Amino acid sequence: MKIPFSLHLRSARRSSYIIMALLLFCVSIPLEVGFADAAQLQYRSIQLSDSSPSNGTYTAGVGSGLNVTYKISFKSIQNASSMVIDFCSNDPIIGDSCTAPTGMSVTTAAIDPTSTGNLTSTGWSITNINTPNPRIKLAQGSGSQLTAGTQQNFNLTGITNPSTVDPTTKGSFYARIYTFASTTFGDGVSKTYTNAAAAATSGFSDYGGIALSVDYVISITARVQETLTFCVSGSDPNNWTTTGDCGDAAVTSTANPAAGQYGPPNIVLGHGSPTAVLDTSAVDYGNVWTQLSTNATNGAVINMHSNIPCGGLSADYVAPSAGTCAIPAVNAGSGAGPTAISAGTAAFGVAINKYTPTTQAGPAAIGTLTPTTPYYDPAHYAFTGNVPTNVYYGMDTQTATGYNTAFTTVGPPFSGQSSYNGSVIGKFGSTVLTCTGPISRVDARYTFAATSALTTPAGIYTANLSLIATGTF
Amino acid sequence: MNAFHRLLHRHQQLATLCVLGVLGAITVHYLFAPAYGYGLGNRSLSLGTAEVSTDALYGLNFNLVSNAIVGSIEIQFCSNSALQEDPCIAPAGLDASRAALIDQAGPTGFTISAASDANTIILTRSPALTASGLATYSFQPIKNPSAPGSYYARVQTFATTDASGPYSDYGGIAFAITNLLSISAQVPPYLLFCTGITVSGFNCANALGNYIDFGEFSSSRASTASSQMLVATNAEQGYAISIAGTTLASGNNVIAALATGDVSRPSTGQFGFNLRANSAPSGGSDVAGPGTSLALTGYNQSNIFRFAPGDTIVSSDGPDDIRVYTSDYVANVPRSQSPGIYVSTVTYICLANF
Repeated sequence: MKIPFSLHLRSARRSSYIIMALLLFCVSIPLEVGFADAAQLQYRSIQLSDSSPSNGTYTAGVGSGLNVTYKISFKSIQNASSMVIDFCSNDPIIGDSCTAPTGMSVTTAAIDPTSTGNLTSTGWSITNINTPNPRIKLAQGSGSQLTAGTQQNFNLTGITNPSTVDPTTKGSFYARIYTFASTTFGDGVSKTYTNAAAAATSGFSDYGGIALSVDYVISITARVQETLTFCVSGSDPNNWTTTGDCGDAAVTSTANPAAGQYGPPNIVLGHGSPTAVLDTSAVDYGNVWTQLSTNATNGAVINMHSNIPCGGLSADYVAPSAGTCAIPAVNAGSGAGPTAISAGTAAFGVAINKYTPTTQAGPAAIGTLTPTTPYYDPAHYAFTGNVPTNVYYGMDTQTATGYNTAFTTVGPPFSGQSSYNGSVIGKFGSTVLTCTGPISRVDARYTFAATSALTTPAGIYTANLSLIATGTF
Repeated sequence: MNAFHRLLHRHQQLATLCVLGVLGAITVHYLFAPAYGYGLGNRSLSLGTAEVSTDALYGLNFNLVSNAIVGSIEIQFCSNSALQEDPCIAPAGLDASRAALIDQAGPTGFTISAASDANTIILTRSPALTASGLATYSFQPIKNPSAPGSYYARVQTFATTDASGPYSDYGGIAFAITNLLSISAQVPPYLLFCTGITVSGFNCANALGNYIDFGEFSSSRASTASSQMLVATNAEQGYAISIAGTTLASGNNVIAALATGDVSRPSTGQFGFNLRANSAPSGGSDVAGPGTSLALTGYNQSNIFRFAPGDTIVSSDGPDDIRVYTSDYVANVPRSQSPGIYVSTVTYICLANF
């Protein structure tokens, strides 16, 4: 009983193998018909310059999904003289019906002129349509055919990505690539490509499917706020040994000159002891320093504004009176340029320039400050350390408004403003230093000098100066 | 079987294509959104003074970038950040509540809204379409913050009149407050005064001698001599030089002083001087030096001599540079003049009025 059953079972199994083989043979018939002698393209990929959908927030550039470049890469098994790329939203399988990806357009696609290799813009022609699905057809012209076994890389520009990110497929869409032996998209004998669904019988040489994807752009935002840091110190930046900037202890501490800390800057001009005085025997001087850092795109200016209406040193000024300047601004307050101060000829002025310390803590300065004409004469700006040896001084009290277009495109907006050059007694003072762009930790030295005449009335002379940094962002 | 395996292999490859293709095609792009501050262009805030806790003039400049309806502009001062999205901490000590709009250019017609406060200024007007371009406004007074450091202004434009609703343009500005730079110098009071037979080079260091010898008097001619004095001062009220002393005397015998001034009269008892160049008798010099003071009446006329102790002979009503005066003395004696050694001590006193 067992044997017949066993024979019957073996017979049935043999029959089932035959049936299965026939079924598989039948299933494979359509594919075998089209794929005869064809092989898959190897090492194939399509790289997108922008994977964003084309209906997003951005209307140009990366993130827009517009004018996207597709880099096509593959290695063909056989030589080819034409090829077709179908873009479908449903699958990459050769011979399946092809659903057009929503919003995708290849009508402006072109071969990137910079592409090299077999497929070039000059050697191959391109034909594009969007219906029934986006399709690009490339045919050999004067160029060389695609060489079997050679990795092909070329760019197709001007493609519009699909406009939607399908929640089911997560934005996937597909490319189907077929290569052909002839330049007319066929086998050169009897078969020719007509459409994606019939591609299996188009006589292609090699084929391959590629999956692509669009997804929403990653938006990265970083905020950099406007900055402007400016400080005035009586301490030489060479003594700024903690941070080397406006937060340095030498700048922020209360006055302790013995420790190199000067606190708020106060300059006493004079010589002798116990009380330093001005007289006709010398030109006395004092230095202060500033440091400016700003990210102002259009640069910055430093203005100097005096509280003394006559712009010099006064012993009798009490606001709102005009007061008198028995020690007047040097060179009669001319804005033409600095000049010498001679001992015994009462005068008050300042020489200003960028300062480059050697022992200042922290990173080096970036950028530069340029002194303005009234306060800097390169031929007369000689120091030994911080001791002036041949220095000319200026104190512009005359130039009412000196708007200089080199400083900014925005000029003084109203009558009397002297934001960008002019008198120290103008509304916004006299511009003494400028920069045309962002700078960092740039120091400057201001050397104030004065002397008295025999006729200079006795008294305590003062001037309060405000140094004002203004950035144009 | 061979065909079956080929088919199966082909479908496996197709399946794996999907994964590989997706992985190969996915690209990540970093997209930089428009940076903050992209709005108002060329914006700056100029201060009349950056001194802490001081009333200052604030000049605001910026370029409007939108052709939009503008009904209000908000300027908010903050100590912590220029970013519109951040909360604003009012700068300690800053007070814009008293500010007046003293000037405006570009889009005009604004007034300061009553909704403004200590750290916010709202400019308001009837909404109007405004072209892009330069806009400038100045305010005074705004009291500066009470501590040195960096501060920020946030500027926004609105279509509404009260700075409500969405803004059109915006931008941040950083500005700095600093301590005042105080410069002082002391000029001490001084009086430069010296006498000598000669004081050359306008320098008291060169003063020489203090003794005059007339020699032997004669009734037929005048005896003359001279001395010099240098004076300068920065006394605001000037100075005065007076004389003290006695006329020439030898015991009880005297040569009469010229108390009222007179010409030289030989054979007449006379003693006097002046501060001019004289011709009768010849001698003396006019005042010299860069100063401006002059000898006073009685001593400032050539050939007229006088000696009245207590007289002020030179004065200046303000600071005066160096002057060198030459005292030209003259002495005459009558025939009856008793013999003897006649001596006079003349003292010059200079008093500065500071």
